[in-house]
Amino acid sequence: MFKEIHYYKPNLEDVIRRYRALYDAKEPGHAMIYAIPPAPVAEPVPALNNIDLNTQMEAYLDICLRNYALALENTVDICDDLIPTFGPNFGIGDYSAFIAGEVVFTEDTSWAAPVMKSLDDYKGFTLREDAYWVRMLERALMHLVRQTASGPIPIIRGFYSPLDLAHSLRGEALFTDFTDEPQKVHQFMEFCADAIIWIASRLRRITGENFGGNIAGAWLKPGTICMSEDIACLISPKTYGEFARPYTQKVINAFGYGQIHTHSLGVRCIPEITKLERLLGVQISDDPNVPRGFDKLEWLLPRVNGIPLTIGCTPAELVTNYDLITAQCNIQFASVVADAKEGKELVEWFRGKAG
Amino acid sequence: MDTKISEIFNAIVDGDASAAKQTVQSALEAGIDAEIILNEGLVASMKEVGRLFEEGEYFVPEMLISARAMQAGMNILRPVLIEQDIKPSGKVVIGTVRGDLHDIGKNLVSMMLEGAGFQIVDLGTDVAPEKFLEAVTEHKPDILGMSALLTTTMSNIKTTIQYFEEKGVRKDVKIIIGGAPITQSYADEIGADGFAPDASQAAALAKRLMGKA
Repeated sequence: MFKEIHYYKPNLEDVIRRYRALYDAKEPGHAMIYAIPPAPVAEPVPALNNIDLNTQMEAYLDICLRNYALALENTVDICDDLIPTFGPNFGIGDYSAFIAGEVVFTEDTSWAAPVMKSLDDYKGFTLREDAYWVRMLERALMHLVRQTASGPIPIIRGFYSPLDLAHSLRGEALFTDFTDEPQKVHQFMEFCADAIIWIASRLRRITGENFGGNIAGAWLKPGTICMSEDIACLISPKTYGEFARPYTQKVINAFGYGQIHTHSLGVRCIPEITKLERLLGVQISDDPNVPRGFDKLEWLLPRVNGIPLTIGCTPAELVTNYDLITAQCNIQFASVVADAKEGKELVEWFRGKAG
Repeated sequence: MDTKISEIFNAIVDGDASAAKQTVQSALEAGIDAEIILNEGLVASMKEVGRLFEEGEYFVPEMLISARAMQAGMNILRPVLIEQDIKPSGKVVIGTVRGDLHDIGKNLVSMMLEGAGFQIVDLGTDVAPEKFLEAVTEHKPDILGMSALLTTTMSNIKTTIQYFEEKGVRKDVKIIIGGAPITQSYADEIGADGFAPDASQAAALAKRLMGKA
């Protein structure tokens, strides 16, 4: 299904070299670029709520893989820093359902309803290798690794942070638990960190490392775990620092390094997130109705402890602001382009500036 | 501000439900008018909570515990308000649309609306257009609030508005909408009467629609 990786990313070694330099950098000016054109019209993907994953999971994943192969063909001329990487999409329900809870599917995502009536309920949870979603995830990843071996196209699986996992299991009540039962929250967060370490250890044995590191679009140092800190967007920096960061740090410590995904909605918490040790980067997804990460860069840059951010911007914004931004920090720009031609031209311009 | 009113105000802003309950009781026993307790104590404090949220000093947990404190105070005050026939600012039927089980945004809006003096009829999550219509027919609210978190379910807001139009009741109620993927332009496109990007602004929007801002 896939050609050898250099067909899609002829500059792979250059990309890896640039990432190594980025992580080792003591001074600003290291910049990376993703130029992302729309995916070509592809094979229709069945709605998640219309698939029997027990019998059709591999067929579903193969459709997604064929579409991804087509998308990669469309970007072969774009020599940006985005390394081909594929991850299974079952929505977000399975991110906590490997412990407990039923996954509710919609057309293109899923979630798991909270399962804890009280904070003590976590004591009844057991991490079981024969749990339905543990088996399903292992089966999915093994299939994907087999199907992409000709590349190899690295297979990525990210994880909830302990805070996101705690919220998924406990629901909205977690927000009042911080005030009502702080000690129990800490105990629960400890469990969540251990649970993530447990599931990630199992799944990462399947996905392995590629090209001397972990790949998540970016090249990451070996031993890097990718986690989401979405619920951090809803709590104060102080609450994050007290109840969340120590446990995210525990997970990072168990593997070596961390990369965090969060949202522009939580811009005030991002400086707290960047206090995590051995953090390689923070990806900021933009949300409707709030300023984009790019629009908050002036506020963010002095506050993120030198951690490289991944920020969305238009090609025009990149061209206009490149010098000003890269004089202050190391950064990854993710720019949606109109088509592969514009992507190629943007990256060529970028290489002229950044090398 | 009267000392007892300011005690209520501070208890709610601080999220202290027990203190809110006690201070409302104490204010009533001191003979302070229930409507003053409502407007200068409960409503004013939740307005302050909304301001703190908009300025990034309060976040969801702080809003929730303040709303809980407000509700504790309201539980003491409500029987007196009913006894004295003091009307709420308006009535709102609210729910998350069909196919969507997320409720935190909707719950925060409900709490802020209640804190702004509105009576709330909360239909919960995964609410079908037929159920919204049934509730509007039964409760005759001033405002119908609909929420969706997912891009795949936000279309059910439009479906519900169309259903109200088909049934000839669209003009009977103001419709406000919100949720992570919702924007003002989407609200305009589907013919909603208002959109708010967060719970605090939803309360201000509802007051504007009631002509009370």
